[in-house]
Amino acid sequence: MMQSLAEWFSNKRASNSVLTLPLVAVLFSWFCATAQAAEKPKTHVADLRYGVSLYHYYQQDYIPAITELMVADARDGIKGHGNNPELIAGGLSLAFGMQNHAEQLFTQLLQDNSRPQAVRDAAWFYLGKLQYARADWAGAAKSFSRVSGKFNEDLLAEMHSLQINLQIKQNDLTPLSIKKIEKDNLAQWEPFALYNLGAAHARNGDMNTAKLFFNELTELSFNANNQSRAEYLTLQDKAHTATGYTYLQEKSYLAAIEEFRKVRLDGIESNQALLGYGWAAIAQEKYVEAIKPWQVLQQRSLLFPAAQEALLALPFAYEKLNAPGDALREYEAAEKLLSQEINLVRDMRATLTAGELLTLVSSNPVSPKELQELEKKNEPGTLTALITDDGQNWLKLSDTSVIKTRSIYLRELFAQNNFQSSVLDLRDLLKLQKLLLAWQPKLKAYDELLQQKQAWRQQKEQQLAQQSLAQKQASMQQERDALVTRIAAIKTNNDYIALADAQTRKRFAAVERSTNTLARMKAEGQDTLEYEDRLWVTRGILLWRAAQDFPVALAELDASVAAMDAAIENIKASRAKIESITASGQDLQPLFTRLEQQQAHVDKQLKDLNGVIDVRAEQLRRKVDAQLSAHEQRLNRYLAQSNLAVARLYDTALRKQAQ
Amino acid sequence: MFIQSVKLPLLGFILAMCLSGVSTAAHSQEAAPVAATSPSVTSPTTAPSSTAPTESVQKPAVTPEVENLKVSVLNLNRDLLILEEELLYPASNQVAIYLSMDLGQFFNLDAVKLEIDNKLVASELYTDKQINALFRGGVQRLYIGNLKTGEHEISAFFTGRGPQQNYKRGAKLVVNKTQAPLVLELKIMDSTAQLQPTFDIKEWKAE
Repeated sequence: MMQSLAEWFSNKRASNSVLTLPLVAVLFSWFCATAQAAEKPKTHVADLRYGVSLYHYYQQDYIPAITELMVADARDGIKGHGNNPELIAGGLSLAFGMQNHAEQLFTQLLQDNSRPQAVRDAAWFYLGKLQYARADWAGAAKSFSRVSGKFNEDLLAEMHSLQINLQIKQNDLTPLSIKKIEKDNLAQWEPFALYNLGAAHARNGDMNTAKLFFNELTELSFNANNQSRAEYLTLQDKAHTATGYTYLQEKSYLAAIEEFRKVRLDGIESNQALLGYGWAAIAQEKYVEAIKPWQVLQQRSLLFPAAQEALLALPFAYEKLNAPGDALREYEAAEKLLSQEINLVRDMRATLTAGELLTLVSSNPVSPKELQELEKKNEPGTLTALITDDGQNWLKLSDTSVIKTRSIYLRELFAQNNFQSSVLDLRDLLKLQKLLLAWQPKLKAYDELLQQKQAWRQQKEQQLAQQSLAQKQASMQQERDALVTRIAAIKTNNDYIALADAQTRKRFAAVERSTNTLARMKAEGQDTLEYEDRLWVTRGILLWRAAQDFPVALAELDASVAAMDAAIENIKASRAKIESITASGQDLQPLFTRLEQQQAHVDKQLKDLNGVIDVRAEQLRRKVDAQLSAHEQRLNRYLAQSNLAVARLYDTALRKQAQ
Repeated sequence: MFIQSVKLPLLGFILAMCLSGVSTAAHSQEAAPVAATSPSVTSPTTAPSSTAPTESVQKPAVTPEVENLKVSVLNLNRDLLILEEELLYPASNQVAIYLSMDLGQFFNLDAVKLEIDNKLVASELYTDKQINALFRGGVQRLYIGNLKTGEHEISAFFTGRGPQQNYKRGAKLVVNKTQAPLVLELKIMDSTAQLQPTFDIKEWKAE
């Protein structure tokens, strides 16, 4: 596993991205720090959400990877993975071009002194790289100085290489000797450091020291993989070419030719070398020798500036060989070719739109396999730039692309960090635009879903609630009505006994039964007078007692009726409330509100995004156009010089004729 | 005259090209990575008329405007995802099933089918990128859905290749769905004792 990561890291380093490498390295160092035990199960995650984030990250799907961490953070955070989620979040922020955010994360991490040294080293290192990318040289130097010597070996090598660059930027070249470079153990960074130091000395006019570094570079042996080998060979070609031109400036023409000869003919530097070779020969007045490399160069694509110059340099050599006819033929051919080329560039500038660039930027990336094939062919115009953020590559120009045929002109521009950053930004913005566009129909569907849910619930709840309450209300109403009827009857009949206590009612019933018995006895002729009197008195006493309690008992009954009326009113109110709740779907209302708010946010963000994308695409188009314009101007200069040369040769010929 | 008017500026241009640091290499496929990872000493040559050293001042790669926009869209996306989950998969009904791979020396995963109560709910054919992500410790959220409370049978069927043979294996688990979200992990593991893959379903209990 460590090996595969290291390979991957190596591939990433060989790739072209400013933004992704730190992330890869963050993970790399993280694995170095935490995953030493290869036997430890890799998927033994303490928090599945962390694993999901890694799953997306490893597929270079940065948006879902970041989002997974953000969602986890919005809830209860990722647990059981120590510092790793923070490092990953920092790395992901870098990968997605959120450098300020990444810096904040790393700075926060470093504020806690209890963090393990490996984590602190990684954070200082990437903080330094961020500062370096922002041209904060002092800050970068300070951050790098905080990294301990126990840090990952490969990353230490990279850091030393960056520290050398910092010294070059401050023009502090004296301490940077070849011995120091060797001592720093820069590994794969050594050729680049040697080249940069050679170039720095050359720019300072110290050609002898420059040559020392270039020579050291050309003598390096390497046993790296093919990708690195190709890089080193290109660097060596560059070093030979640069040394050749320094000799040329010093008028050491033989030495210059010797250096130019060492450049591979099939390498990209060979054009400049062939051109320099010719000029070195011309300087020695070896005109025939100059013609050979320039003829080779003339056969090459006119898209290369060196080939364009060869169009004029070759007839110049013919002139020197006193072959004005050949010179005139070549100048006229150059006029024709240059005019055609100028027209092509003008057409391209006229038809290149911001929209086309947007299409290019948002196109599918080139797969690593396809990339290998394309690199083998190395055809001009096939692939103009490789901006890698994920081990994959972009900007394979389609056959219909306006800039495909003249894309070589844009190579320099495409190789610039600023241009690449702009493109990556634009691509990120396009991805976010796509993301928000996908949310729009989803939110609409969710709104409809909620409405359906509300309607269904409304119906069900209404049915259930109304049914139950209606039954209760009806039953209570019935009970109340019966009571009211009874009270009315009692009142009408002054039925004191009906409201008397149980004992009085029982005695009164006995009196009633006795009265009936006496009536039967009297009908049979028996003497019942005495009994009748006593019974009458008893009955009177009972009625009197009942009458005493009657008003209170009646008031209690009336109160019961009032209580029942109140209860019925309550039920009615409850029914009305339920109807109201179900009608408005009160519990779903917060969701409706949130949906509505989010829809508005999505619309607003999309509007903002579209605005920025348009501006950015136009800026990109202007950059491309400016680059093409510079090429057009150079071609125009060549054309003007051809025109002058043709006129001069005709003039000379006419004068000779006249003589 | 011609030499003066043509040769020297061009020579200067080429020299500037050569000395301008590795980031200006014409072959962008190869040299540009150096520019990215080992920033060169000078800015890319865009003015081919002088040999004077040109010190690069790299501007911030990302402008705050763009970064702020990215952050706010990502925040919005987070809120939308949370809302979506609450809307579609309320906690009381939610079931989430993940897939992970432990080592995977004895098994190269091709496909997975997931069934709940004998109904196919998810299936996946894996690309190399996905396998690589799983192999390196990533965990795939294979399925998220809703399930009523009570007993349910979860079945997963794995198809893939081993060093010696092809495998078509299954794993089964009966779970009791409560009011809490149900979280399951389909685990593909190497059994070093048996020298073959094993397949398991683990239920994650809320802490």
